[in-house]
Amino acid sequence: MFKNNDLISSGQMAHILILTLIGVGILNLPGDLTEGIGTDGLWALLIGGIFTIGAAALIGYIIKKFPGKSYFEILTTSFTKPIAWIIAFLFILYALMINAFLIRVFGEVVKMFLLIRTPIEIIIFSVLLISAYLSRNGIEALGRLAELLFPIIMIPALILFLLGLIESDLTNLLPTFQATPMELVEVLPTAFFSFAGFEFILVFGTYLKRPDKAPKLMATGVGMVLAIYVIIFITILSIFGTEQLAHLVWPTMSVFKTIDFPGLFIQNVEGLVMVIWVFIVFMSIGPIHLVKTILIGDLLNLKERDFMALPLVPILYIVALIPENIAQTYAFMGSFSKYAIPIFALGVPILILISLGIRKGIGKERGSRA
Amino acid sequence: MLKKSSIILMLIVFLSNFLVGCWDKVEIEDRAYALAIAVDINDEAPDEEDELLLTFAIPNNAAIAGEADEFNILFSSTGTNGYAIMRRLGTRMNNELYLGHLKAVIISDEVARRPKLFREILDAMEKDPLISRKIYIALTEGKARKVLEVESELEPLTPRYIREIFEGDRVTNRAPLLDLNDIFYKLHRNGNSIITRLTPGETDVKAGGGGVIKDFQLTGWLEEEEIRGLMYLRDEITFGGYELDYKNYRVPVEITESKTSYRLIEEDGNISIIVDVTTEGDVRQFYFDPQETLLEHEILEALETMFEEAIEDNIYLAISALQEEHEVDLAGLDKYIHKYHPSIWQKIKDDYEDVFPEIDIVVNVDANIRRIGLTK
Amino acid sequence: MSLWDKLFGNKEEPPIGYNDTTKISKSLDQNLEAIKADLTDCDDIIYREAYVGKKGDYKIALAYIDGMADRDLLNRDVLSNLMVRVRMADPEPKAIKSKIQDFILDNSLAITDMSEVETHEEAMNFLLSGETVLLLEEYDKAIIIATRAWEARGISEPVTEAVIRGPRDGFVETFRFNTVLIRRRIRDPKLKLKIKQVGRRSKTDIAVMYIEDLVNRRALEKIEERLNAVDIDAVLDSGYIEQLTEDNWLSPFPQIQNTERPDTASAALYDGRIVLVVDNTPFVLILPTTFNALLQSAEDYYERWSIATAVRLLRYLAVFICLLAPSLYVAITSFHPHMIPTELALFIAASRQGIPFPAIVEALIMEATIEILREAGVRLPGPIGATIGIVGGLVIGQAAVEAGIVSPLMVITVAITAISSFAIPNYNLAIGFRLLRFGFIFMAAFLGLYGVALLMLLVMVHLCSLKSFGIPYMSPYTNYIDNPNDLKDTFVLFPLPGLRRRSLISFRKNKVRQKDLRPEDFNKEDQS
Repeated sequence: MFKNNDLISSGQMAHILILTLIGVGILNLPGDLTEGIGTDGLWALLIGGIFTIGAAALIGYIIKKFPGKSYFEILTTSFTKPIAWIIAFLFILYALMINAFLIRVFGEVVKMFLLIRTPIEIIIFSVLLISAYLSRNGIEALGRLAELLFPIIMIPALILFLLGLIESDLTNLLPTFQATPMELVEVLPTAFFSFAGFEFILVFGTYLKRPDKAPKLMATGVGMVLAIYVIIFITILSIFGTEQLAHLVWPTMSVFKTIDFPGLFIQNVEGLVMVIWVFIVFMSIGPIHLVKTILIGDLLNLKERDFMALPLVPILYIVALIPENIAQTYAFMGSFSKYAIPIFALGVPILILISLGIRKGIGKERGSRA
Repeated sequence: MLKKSSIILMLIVFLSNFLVGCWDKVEIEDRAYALAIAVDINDEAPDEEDELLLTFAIPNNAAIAGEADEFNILFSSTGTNGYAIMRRLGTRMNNELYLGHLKAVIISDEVARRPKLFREILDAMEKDPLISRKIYIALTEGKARKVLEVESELEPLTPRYIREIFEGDRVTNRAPLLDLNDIFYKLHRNGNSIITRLTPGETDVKAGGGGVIKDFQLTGWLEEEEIRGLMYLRDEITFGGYELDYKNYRVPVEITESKTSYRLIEEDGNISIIVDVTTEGDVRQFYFDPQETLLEHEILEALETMFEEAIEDNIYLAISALQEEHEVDLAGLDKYIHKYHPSIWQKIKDDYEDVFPEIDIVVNVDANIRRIGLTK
Repeated sequence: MSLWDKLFGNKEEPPIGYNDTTKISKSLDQNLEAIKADLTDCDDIIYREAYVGKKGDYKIALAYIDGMADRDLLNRDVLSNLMVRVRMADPEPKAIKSKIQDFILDNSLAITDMSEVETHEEAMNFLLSGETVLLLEEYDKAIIIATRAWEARGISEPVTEAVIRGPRDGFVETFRFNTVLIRRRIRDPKLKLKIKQVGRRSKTDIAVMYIEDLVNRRALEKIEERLNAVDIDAVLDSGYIEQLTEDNWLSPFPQIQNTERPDTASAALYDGRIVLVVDNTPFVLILPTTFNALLQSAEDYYERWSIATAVRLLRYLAVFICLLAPSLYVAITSFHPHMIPTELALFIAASRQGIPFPAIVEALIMEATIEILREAGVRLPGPIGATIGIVGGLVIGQAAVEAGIVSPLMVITVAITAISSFAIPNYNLAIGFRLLRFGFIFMAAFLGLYGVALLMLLVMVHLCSLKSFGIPYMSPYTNYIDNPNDLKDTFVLFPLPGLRRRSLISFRKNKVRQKDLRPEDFNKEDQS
């Protein structure tokens, strides 16, 4: 067990959820969405977000129905032990891939904007060590960190985006409702993927002080993320316009090159932005690292599992460095997430619910027979 | 036990970083800050491999510290692209060129007339993470290096002088003062834009007029009056003035506010756009001890009519330049049609280049004079 | 047992102290001899043997430490009573013979505070803490007369926590004065005071003070458990207790607050916290504590809230500067010069022209200089210390710039950093930041701004993982959703009528500390 007593409040869990999601999705959010359907990406984002709120509430419902149970225990009661073992193992692999992808992109961005000559290995390794330190300290430290960092990240970020809006042209959001419903449906998976990450909360569910509040907190959390994404989407689109957006690799970062901070000590806000950015992505890397630590501990039935955080570092390090370049990274992740995210964010939870329903049915039958 | 040894391992790994680290560390005084770049064609080999001649304006540290008089140091080299040239310059310079403080890029018309070269340079600027999107980019007739060679008496550091011309200009509207982000935005849309023209003088630089970029290529120039009309069309006027001639009194009017809006009318496939301009202005000068008083309604009305006509003439001047001379829509009417009339846009977007000169543009100006100064 | 000990085979030995559990016997001479034997070569012990009783044949003995016991009291109220009044009484001789002890104890000693002990160890304990031991013939208990009185420093203004407005009394070295200073502020029977002795040889008195119906029970259990576990030869200052009982002793952040101010200690008690008063030190411990509490000053609550809020914001800014200013200087000048305005960048470049060291060496030289100056300023006698600080800072800074060792901006940065670290009200916290600052400088020189951001994350993860006696260290910043009330007293301070509830730390019942004033508008009468 971890050093702390391992219970976090719903507020802290919601913060973990929000920060995990934003870190995964923020990077190429507007670019991906406007590809194909232009300004109507906003509607795709809204529809995808509302759909995700439903999916997240589903996960919250599972947590509520299995209070205090770990993800592995939930899987075991639902599908018997061997299958649970396989699913949990695949889940670890999935988390590993997402984490490695995040770390790689994180390293590339830091290298691009801050440390052009520093080897990416150093950038990746140093952040991994700190993420391992966070994982060692367990869920309580993570929950507190999430709640502490949330205003530290959000307040300056919102101010910066508002500054960006000053010189933007809101008419760039026009025209709307030009895409056919079919085109809209085609973009929906992209919108859904930008909310990937909420499924990891399943693993943290066991540490929730009030599991009965889980559905509500999951829905509010994803709703907050949706609101934040909409603000980002509107700002970026109104600054760049669809045509220019198509050319930018990291539009969210490029926004800040257009912001003027008149009369301040900082000329380019990029420095401040990079610090915030490091915080945001770390708050995705850290929780997913912890997810793996906890799950591996469960799988191997370890009593003390916090030390599992450290052996994961070299594995993550190697996996993150496998793709040869940024293009390959994105291509690989694109094809991977196409299958993995629906399976783990939708498929497994629905199966758990079905099995819950069946067992309930059986239980009722037995009850009525008796 | 495991905890302690793992901490020690982490420490060793971490501390060993310090022994090799600091890849990006370059002390602040060991960098050569390229504050402005002039892009020219290499006259000695205009059509060969090393067609580009870049001139970097670097501030003299000693002069800033007050120990020398020469503020600007210019370094030039030739090559095929900017980065090759920077590497070549590295063989001659003690410090490394650094683009993080770049303020302005001046491109000669010769370069801008070659679309391939021009696009390469623009992309280099967009790709570089150090170059801010807030820098200024300008065209010049003749050699761009000449602009950097100007020694201004107002501001010894020429690149700063150029930047301040762009930033400080609040009294004229004779040049489109666009920054890199605006230009990228326009060029990404349809490859058309207008870029400020800088003309070097003896001890100063003039920003007036602009180069017409059509399909990533410089095709001609718009003169200062045409630029003003264009800015009215684009709803970018916030200042400037006109000189009216009322009964032999020369009356300068200063614009204080202006708003432009469009209406589109489609009849039998013919598109006509009505441009409504609402402007407010102040009378700045009339006549010392005049016979008439400006407080009389008729005089002001007459002045307002003249004001409206002056603006209308100005805008039509710009429209004819765009539609007849250059045949390129720099006014952003395509953007308007796209955003507000997407169905019409779908029909015309593929051959908009041919459609634009045929569009019937009608200008309606409503000008008001609000203030007359301290005397009647 | 740790790896280290396994490798080198160190064996743990239990600590040893004075330990004599033999009972006091009936024979006075034997008892006296035993005490004298334990206290050989202790020449400051005074023994007084006397014969009392009508016939003058009943032997008594007094022992006390010269200077620690009140000699007047002994002479007037003990010896004169025993020797004179016992003789003058005329009781039944037989009865007296058998009950003389009772007679002495009940009828002749005019002392309010008296007790009896049965073992030599206990008697020795009291003797060494300044009480007087009275031995009687044919009596197997030693009588302890409370005569503790020694020269003590008068109550004076606290040095480390001076305020403009607020009480000016501070704790002193005398245990009893300190508890009195707190008691005077809390006239509540619920204020409890439990005395423990810690230290095998020093036997230092420690008072655990708390208000029974407000205190955080878990923290109280924990501190009692940890105090009982402490087994050390001596406790010379509350710093010993602090280090021996805090949750994480590797952390640079203090998890127990210390104060010299009785008002601060009392305020903590009213907030359900526990106060430890340790003998022989003016520094009283407050626990549990939070990061937020360490950045509060007593004065905040005596001033108007708007001013206090402004001051608190300033303090947080000071923390930021104290921690990051030199590292940001290094990161920006050596890695990211495009982040500062061009004019400034060019000026720094020009001013650094000719300086032989990289920015990190420059920063380390200046930081080390200022830290040495500060350390020297503490050791130097009062008035000279301040002068040396200023003169040293100015002269060295100026000279270093002229000598071309550092740039002027570096001097400014270091000076601002040093001043900021003094704006942090808690000295222990400020030291932690000073130490971490060097870590930040190294990280800045290694990975630039990214390194600074990473170390910031590391520090924040550490702060979030810390707990002080069950209370999260960064509370209320880490649980404001569930506890929005506590945010009223953080980097903003609400007006006093708004602070109606106690903080998260106090017992979960009895949270309300103030009646809602809003319904009673003070101006009502004036208006009608």
